[in-house]
Parts: sequence; structure tokens; C-alpha cells
Amino acid sequence: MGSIPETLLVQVFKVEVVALAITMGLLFGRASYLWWDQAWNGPREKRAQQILARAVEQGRLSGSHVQWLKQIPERVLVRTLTNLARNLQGASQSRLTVMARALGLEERATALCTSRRWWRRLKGVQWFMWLDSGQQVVPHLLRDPHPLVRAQVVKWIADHPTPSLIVALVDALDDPDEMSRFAVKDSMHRIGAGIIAPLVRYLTTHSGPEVEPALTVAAGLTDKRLLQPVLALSGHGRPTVRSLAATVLGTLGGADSVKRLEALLHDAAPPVRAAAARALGSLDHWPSAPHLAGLLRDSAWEVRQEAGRALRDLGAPGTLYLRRALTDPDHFAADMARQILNLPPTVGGTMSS
Amino acid sequence: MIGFWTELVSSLLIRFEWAVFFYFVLVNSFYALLLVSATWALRRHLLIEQAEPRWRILSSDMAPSISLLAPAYNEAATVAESVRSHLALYYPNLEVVVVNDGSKDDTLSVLVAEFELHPIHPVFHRQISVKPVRNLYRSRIHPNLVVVDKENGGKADALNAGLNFASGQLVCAMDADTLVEADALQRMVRPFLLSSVMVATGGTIRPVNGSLVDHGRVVHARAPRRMLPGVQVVEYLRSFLFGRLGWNRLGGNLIISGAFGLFRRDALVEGGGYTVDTVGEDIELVVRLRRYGYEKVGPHVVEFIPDPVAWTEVPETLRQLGRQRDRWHRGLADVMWRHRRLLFNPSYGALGLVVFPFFLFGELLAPVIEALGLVGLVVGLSAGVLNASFAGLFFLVAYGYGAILTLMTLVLEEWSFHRYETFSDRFWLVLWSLIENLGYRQLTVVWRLQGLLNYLQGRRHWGLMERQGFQGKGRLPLS
Repeated sequence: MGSIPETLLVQVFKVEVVALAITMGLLFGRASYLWWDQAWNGPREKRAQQILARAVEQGRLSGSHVQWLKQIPERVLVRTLTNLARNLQGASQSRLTVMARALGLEERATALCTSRRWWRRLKGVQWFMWLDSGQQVVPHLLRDPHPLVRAQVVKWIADHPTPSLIVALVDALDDPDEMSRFAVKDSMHRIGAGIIAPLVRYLTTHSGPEVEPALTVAAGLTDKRLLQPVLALSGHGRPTVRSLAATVLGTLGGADSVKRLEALLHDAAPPVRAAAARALGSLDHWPSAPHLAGLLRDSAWEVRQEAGRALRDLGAPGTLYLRRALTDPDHFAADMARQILNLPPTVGGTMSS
Repeated sequence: MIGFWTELVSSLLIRFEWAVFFYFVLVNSFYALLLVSATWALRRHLLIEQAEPRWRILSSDMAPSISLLAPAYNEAATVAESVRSHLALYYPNLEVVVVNDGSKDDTLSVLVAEFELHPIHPVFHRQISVKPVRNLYRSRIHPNLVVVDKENGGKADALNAGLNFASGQLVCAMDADTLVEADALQRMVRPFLLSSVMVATGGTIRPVNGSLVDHGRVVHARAPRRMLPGVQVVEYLRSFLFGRLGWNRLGGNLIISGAFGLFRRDALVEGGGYTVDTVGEDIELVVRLRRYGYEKVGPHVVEFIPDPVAWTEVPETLRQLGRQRDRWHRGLADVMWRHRRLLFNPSYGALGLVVFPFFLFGELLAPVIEALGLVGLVVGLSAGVLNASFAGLFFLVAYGYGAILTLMTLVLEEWSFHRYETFSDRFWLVLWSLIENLGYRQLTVVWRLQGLLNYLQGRRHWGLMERQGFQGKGRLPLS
């Protein structure tokens, strides 16, 4: 076996020299481009900002300004408009949308939304977000094959809710992609009361794990119309559904909710018991105090913690039970009571949980 | 007889030379693959991130809660500023848990004075055993700031103490001397919204040395003008922007930096928290989480996110740097040994078949092979088996390849985040990239070898890091 031929190393080194030169070119070429871009387009961007700000104030954009703005690079124009749009609302926002239309940007956004490339469709929907338009185009992308595009459409719907779009939004709760589901839940929260009717319909007509995101949203919306479907779901086979249902009942209140929650305090699953305890505490329902006090002896730490917190939240009646628990023969109950009452370890029970 | 031995030695040296050459080609081919993977991942990441309104996470009720764990040991010089920067992070539901790990200096006094701390006796679940907690404090002016004062037990023990107390769905482990950018958590949380199998994410760590810091924020990133921090800047860039980002698509990451990582809290607690008897607790944790994820069919994906940035002070003396690299290599060796069953084990998918073997042969044993290669080269030259021109050429080829990889990382940085804005900063970074392999890299080989030797001898100490404190002095350059 001979030594490594030097000629091989020489060839490799030559390739490296070329690669090095290309790399330096890419690095400083890019740096130079950025410097040139700032020097060349910086003043244009500044002028564009002034023109558009004045035009929004006055409510009109002159023909000469339109021509001038059409000549600057699209990304500079879009950046200027995006920055301006963030600070506008109402009539000013509408004026800006009209100007963007005059500049051809709405057409461009429409074209982007029909692109085969997902990142262009995403860009198109993002443009329609700050243009505050796109009602004819964006909703069609709600079932786009790419999850990020769907998520963006959902965010757009939150800003442009119509009855039909809200129904479509709720139906999107079963999206297989988690980011899309997060966007749906977030958008539903932002829409608020308008989502209740379709949400009630969804909770009534669905029974599998897909009800979980719906219940998460319902927990942030206090509306009595949710009571019946949530009561029905509080007996669901899945502990996570029962926990979420308990949380929602804790926001709704009423005799039916309390009755069901007190029953759930004896559920087989610790997270359900904990959720029920937390819910009763938030309802300020002091007659539940004896039931909650019993949970201080629960085998699961999180249940004891929630029961203790709920008793604290009930005020005087709850505090009474907590103080009684300081001398409970069950060390875990006594220790939890001590911690809830924010007492030092020398008081009451000393067993650490 | 002498001729026979000479022939034998020459033959062995040549074979060894080929072996080192093949190792060089193999490892560097993999680095090239990582670079391609990183470029692809970065492109995709930038496409997704373009103009995405992260303010929605900021104001969303659906955003998961985060507890930020910041262990502190003798950090009196920097702790107030870094805690303020933690509290100023843009995230809707954030709890900051600082763990004073038995500091011998005024760390606790500084915290009590600066943040008006008062003692509390809250409810928390001691799920992981830790050294005794002396006191718990909450801030009167920042109710989401809690300080755990405990007996010294090391960084891992401090993190576990924080974990016991944390209430968030996710926990972010962060060094108390680390400055994190304001929107970093919003960026780090995104993968958890995308996937329920995500167990941990990590961001980029950049050396703050030489940069302009104002009120806990890096307002102007500058390339250091001194060699030691300067070469570390390019080293960190290469490690994060090229190495870790590249691994996202090639089997996942094995390391989330202890200075800045986000984890699912329940997975962490179920996994037993941080291991206390290792100096590589950050890598050990990630390997264990990934392993348990495979074994228990739970969340197991670890992803690196390039744009959330945390800034930290890197050593400015050879002694400090040597200790740090020694410790890092000891940690790596320990983790490789603890989890050796992963090696070439198909039950662990790409983790066992690709990632773990690479870290063993391409990272842990690399200084051994490099040192042997150098020794072989010297012996070969002395024995006349190799000639000086060959040795010079080989060195140039190896040097050139290393320089190209580092410069390509600078290109990735320039075409993506563009944090170093002036031409002079770029020139300094290029200079450090070219100088790195002329002595610095060879020094790291020595330190890593030392670390390996220390590990084999059973040494577990951390060593001390002297902090300069973040400096706000210096003017912004004009170009």
C-alpha cells in the first residue's frame, strides 16, 4: 500500500482555493448588496413613508405619487405599507387599503394566493392581513394542503369574521395539524361571543377526542348556551374530556354545574377530581367546602393542592376547614393545609409531600 | 533485522496515514452534509418566519405557560441585570424562578435588595430530591419572580430545585449570566405548538464579549477585537448555525445548551430531572429525554431554532477556556458511557444509528485521532516515510476545509440574521475564522484530551468562571 499521492492533495487544495474565493464572494457580496440597498432604497423608503402617511391623512393619493410608488422595489413598498398598516385602524386603515389597491398590491396578493408554492400562498394571505381585504380569495384557502397556510387563513378569519366563516372556523377544530388547531382556538377566542352558536352545535354533534379543543375554547367563553352540551360531555369516557368539561362548568356556574362538579369530586381519575375542585373554588360556592375538605386527604398530590386552593378561594368558610386540617391525623392533609395557609414548616404537620 | 523493523514501521505509518485520511474524509463529508442540511433548514425557517405576527402568541390565552429556571452561583456582578432582562421578556404567561445555589458572594443580598424579596411558604411538589432549601422568596414589585435559596449542590441540583417549584407547562433552563433577546421565548415555543411529540427546543448562544449592552439588552452586536473571544464567536456560530441546525433534519439534536433551552415540564419530571453527578447535565438530560421518548413512545423530538438568541460571556483567558473545554469533554464522555446502549441500536432509530455514533467517533474520540494523526505525521517525517511537502499539503488541505466550513457559516449568518452589521465586524470575523485553525484548534485538542483523561481518572469538578459583567461602554460605530 503506497502513501497518499500528493497530486490528489494538490487537486483538493485547488478546489478549496476556488471554494474559498466563492465563499468570500458570497459573504462580502451580500454585505455590499445590503449596504447598497440601504444607501439606494433607504431614502426612497423614507419618501414613500412620507407620501403614504400624508395621503392617509388627506384621504387621497395623487396620480404622480402612484406612478412614483409603482417604480420603487415591491419589497420596499410592501415593507413601508406593512409598517404603516400596523399603526392604523378604522377609516385610516380603509384608506390605506384603497391606496394599496391603486398600487396593484391587491392583485399581486391574489396572484400569490393562487401560487403552487406554499410559501407564496402564505405570503399572499399575510398581505391580505395587513391590507385588511381578501374576502373573495382567502376563505378558499381554509382547506389548503399546507398547515401554515391554513393557520394563516384562520388568523385572517379572526379579523374578518362572518357567520359562514365562523362556522367554517369551528369545523376546522378537527384539523390534523397542531399549529392549525392552535390558530383555530386562538382565533375563536378572539372572535368571542359570535362563536357560541356554532360551538354549541359542534359540541353537540361530536363525541370523540376532537371535542377537547372545543372545550378548551369554551372554557374562555362564559355563555349559558354551553351548559347542556358540556354537562353531557362531563360523563365522557375520556378523563381529559371530563377534566375540560369540569373547567368549563366552573366558568358557567349555576345549580346544575355545582351538582355535577360535586359528583366529579369522586371521579376515578385524579386530573378530573383536581379540575372539579378548582372549578368549585372559582365558583365561590362555599357550601361545597366540606366536600373539598375531604379531598385534602386524597391520594393524588395535585388533587390535594387544588382542594386546598379552592378552600382558600372560598374565603372564611374555606379557611376554617384549612385551619381544622392543620391538626388532621392525615399528615398529607395537614401539610397541604399548612402550605396553602402559607405557614412555616414549624406549624401543624411536618410531613413533606 | 533492522531493515525488517524499518519496513514494518514504514508500512504501519502509511496504513495509519490512510486511516487518518479516511477518517478526515468521512467526518468532513458528514460536516458537509450537515452544512447542506443546515442551509436547507435555514431557508425553510426563514420562509416560515417571514412577517409572521408573533404578537398573537404574546396576547393569546392559548399560549402555554413557561417557568424560566435560572440557577445562580456567585453571580453578584451580573445577576441583577440578567434577572431584569428575564423579567422583560415578551411572553404572556411567564414565571421566573432564580435558584441561588449556596453562593458565597452577595448574590442573594443583591437579589433581595434589587427586587424587594419577601419570604414565602408556598405549595410546591417536591418531586425530585434536592439539597435542602433554606428559604423561598417572592418579589413585591414583580410577583412572577420567585427566588429559591438552597444549599450548594451544583447546577443540576439547582435546576431540579427550580423544577420542583415551577408551575409552567414548559420550563426554560437558563444561566443567570445569560442575556436573552426579548422575543426569544415566543420563537422557542413555536415548535411545541406545531407538534405534541416535541420534548425540547434550543436556541442560539452567541458570545456577548465586545458587544454593546444597555439595560440587559444587546443593542449592537460586534465582533470582538481580541483573539480569544473572537475565535469563540466563530466557533459558536459554526456549532449552532451549522452544526445543530443541520442535525434537525438528520436525526435530531443531542445537545440543548444549558444556557438556553425549553422543555416540557412533565417529561422532565417523569424523566427524573437533571442528573447531579455529571458535569454534562445538559447533554445528559437531552439524551435521556430522547431515549425515554423512544422507550415509552412519548414525546422525543428535540429541535434547534436558529433565531431566538441568548448572549453569554465567554472566557477571555486561556486558563478559563481550558477549564471549560475540559469540562465539556468530560461531560460528553460521561454521557456517551451512561447511554452506551444507544450505540448502533436500531430500537432508537436515527438517534442510535446516526446521531450517537457520530458524537462518539466524530466528537468524543476526535481529539484522540487528531492527536495521533499529528504524532504519526511527526514520526513519519522523522522516519523519512513522509516528506515535508506532503505534510505541508495535508495541513493546507485540512486547514482549508476547516476555513471553508467556518466561512460558509458566516455566509449563512449574513444571508439570514445579519447580526454583525458593519464591514469592520465582518472583516474581524473572517480574520478569526482564518486564524482559528492556526493554534487555537490545536489547543482545544489538548484541552479535550485532558478532559478525556480527567474523566478516565474520575474527576468531576466544575471549575470557577470569573465574570467581567456586561459592559455598556463604547460608542456605536458609524458604519
